[in-house]
Amino acid sequence: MMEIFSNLGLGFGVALSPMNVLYCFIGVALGTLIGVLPGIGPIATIAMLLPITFNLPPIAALIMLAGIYYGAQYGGSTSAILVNLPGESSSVVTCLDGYQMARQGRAGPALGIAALGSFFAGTVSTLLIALFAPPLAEIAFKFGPAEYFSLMVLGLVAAVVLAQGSLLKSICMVILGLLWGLVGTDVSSGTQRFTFGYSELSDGIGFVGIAMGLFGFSEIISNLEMGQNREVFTSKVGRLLPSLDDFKASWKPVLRGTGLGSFLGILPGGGALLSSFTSYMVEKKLAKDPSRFGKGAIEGVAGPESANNAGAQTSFIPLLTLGIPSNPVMALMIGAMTIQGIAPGPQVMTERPQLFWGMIASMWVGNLLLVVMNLPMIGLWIKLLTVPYRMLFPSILLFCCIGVYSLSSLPFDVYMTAAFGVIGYIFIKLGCEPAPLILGFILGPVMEENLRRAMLLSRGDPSTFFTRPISLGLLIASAIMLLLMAAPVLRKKRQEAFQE
Amino acid sequence: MKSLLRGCVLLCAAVMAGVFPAWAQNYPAKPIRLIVAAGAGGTSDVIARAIAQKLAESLGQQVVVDNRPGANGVIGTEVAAKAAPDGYSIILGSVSTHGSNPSLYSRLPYDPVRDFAPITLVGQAPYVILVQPSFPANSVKEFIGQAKAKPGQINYGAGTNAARIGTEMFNSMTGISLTHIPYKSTAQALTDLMAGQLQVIFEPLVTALPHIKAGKLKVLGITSTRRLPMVPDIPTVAEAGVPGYEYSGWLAMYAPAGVPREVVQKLNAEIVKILNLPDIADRLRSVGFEPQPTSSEQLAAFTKAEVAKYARVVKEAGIQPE
Repeated sequence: MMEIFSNLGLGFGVALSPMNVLYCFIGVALGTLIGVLPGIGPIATIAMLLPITFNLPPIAALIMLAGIYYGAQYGGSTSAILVNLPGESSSVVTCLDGYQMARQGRAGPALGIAALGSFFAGTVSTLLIALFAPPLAEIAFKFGPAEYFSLMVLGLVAAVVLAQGSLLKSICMVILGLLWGLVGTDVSSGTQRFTFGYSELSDGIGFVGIAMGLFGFSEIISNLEMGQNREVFTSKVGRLLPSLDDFKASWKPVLRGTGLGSFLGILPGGGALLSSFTSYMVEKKLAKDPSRFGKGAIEGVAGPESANNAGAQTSFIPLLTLGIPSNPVMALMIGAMTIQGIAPGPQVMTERPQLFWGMIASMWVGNLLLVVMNLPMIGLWIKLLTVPYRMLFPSILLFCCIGVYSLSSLPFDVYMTAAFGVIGYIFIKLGCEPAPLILGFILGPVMEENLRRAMLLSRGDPSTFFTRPISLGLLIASAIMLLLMAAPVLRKKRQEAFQE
Repeated sequence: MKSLLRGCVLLCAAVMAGVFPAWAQNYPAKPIRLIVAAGAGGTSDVIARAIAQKLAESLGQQVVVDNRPGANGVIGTEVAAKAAPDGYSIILGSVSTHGSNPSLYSRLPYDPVRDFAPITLVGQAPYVILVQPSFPANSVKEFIGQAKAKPGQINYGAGTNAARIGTEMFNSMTGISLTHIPYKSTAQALTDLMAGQLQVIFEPLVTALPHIKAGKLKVLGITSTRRLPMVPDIPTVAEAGVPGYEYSGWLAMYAPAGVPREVVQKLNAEIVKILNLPDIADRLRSVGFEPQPTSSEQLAAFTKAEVAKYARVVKEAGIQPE
């Protein structure tokens, strides 16, 4: 225990040096900015900044790059809440209730609880990293292809629970998402699936295009349709900070979200994303009145926002302790470390303790900077909503197009986003929700990949999913959840039958 | 009328021919685009940006790195192949884009030999054969023995086409059959190797080194022709029992075919000079590449040999081109 304190002391000594605080600030400020701007994500930003970091001392470079990553998580939720544009895959969930809160004039509390929840989650997960990084890293090894498959099954079942309206519609949306996820090059054989000869499609449909089209563009189209009388949530800005009631409703979701996010973030591949979806689902299940969700429930913002920040932080654990990247951003961090002559791996902790503990301490410093920076900015962000639509909408569209184009310099991606905007508008008209579709779209390919990998490893024996304990546990959990979900539906059906 | 037109064309051609050498001497008169057929932040991008910076200093013109990722490099390489052959678009090609893709795609929209004017090889990156520390083999020979005793039971993971082809080449040269488990990235495969899901993996030396040093993974051999000064203890696969086996990732600079000869010579001279700079060489080594500048003729021969080699390996391994 004393060792932890001396280690953290060493870390804060490094992180609090004026130079490093400055780089941390640059990182989180830049991260917030690109998080707010739709489409421009941390991957592109970190990649573009890599050459600049050649000339920085290693610790400053890594502190800055890490700051961009978790700063983007903060910024991503801002645009999700204010204009229904998920800047990051993990802020898709925040759109559901955050944007509704904004429409009700409660953008301030939504932004406030997102910032405070994230700060709390960031603090806890920093402590977790300091205390348990090495043993936690071993969890990643417990998850083989079979376990991932079962985890994805659980995620898809959760996707259906997410939905508001009809169960049938949300199942259809999940399946549609799975189908769209099939587009691209098959990992096992290299076969092109549903690319229709377009090489632009050979890496699959881009997530950013789908998310922007279905959430952002379609929302803009349907707002335009309302003509002059369209709802103005700008006049009633409301209070800036969450009320006492808001805090009362939020503290438990924040705690649960932090726990979920810390755990799922460790797992390679979409941990942070899964954690925000899972947290939303858990809150909806536990709520006394689940029907409030999707209509501006503060729990639906507090939980997932804490979860994705916790997940973003703990995703550093496999990187720092094993040298294994859990997502593309972490892969870039490995690149940054190698450029600096640091071989990422288990030896970093012992050979370069200043770097290891300095980075961990800087995460907490960065989170603090983010809250200090973001809380006073809430007023400013809300001012943005008072910008007339005729100016706001074209600028949002413009930023979106720039963002999408910047991903791989292909005009094709911009057309595709526009097409998804139209499709999203049709979904709104049909009362179909895009969130389950997105989840199916993201989890489907991971599930397929791991299913085939697990089957290859077991030489075609499907019992591998039931004989491995973690996998079995996850499948049982999915089955229970399906039953829980089906039960009320069946009951309702029966009641309807009785009434007739 | 017809003859007048022909006269015009001839005159134009004559003027062009007269102007071209002078024009090549003024090269470069505007910024140069260096295409990288991969995303920003990857190894080839890091190398491209390092070279671009020095090239801009020595040519006195901006050199802009243009990332065109996607489709295993096909998208970016096609852009380069179709760019105007004026020396203002060049590409940092790789073992995938200019070596193995012709064997993996049946309808490749470019030909790495016919559509490009080679400038210089940039560097090569060897692979190492990794197993778990507990694996009952301590050398390539013992490993082959194990694989022969348990045909088809040993799994290998590959996160890239390059890693897969290297392993398949090993398979066909040793007469063993390792089972291919495909991955989307080498990092995933590495995790599964450490977790014991896989038994063996061919991994670039630079990413494997920390795990070897930490004792998490055991190295059996390196795929270069000679032992590397950086890791003198690792025997080459060829010396350890598979004579003739040699396999490396590589990067090389190309211009679109039809670029004036003077431009190629100028670029070759400048880039070779840059690759010999100590700081650039260090930067390359830090991401696993041994600098290896060549003449454009050497790169032409090298590219042809590589394309032929992969055609053979892919055919022998029974991999179906798409």
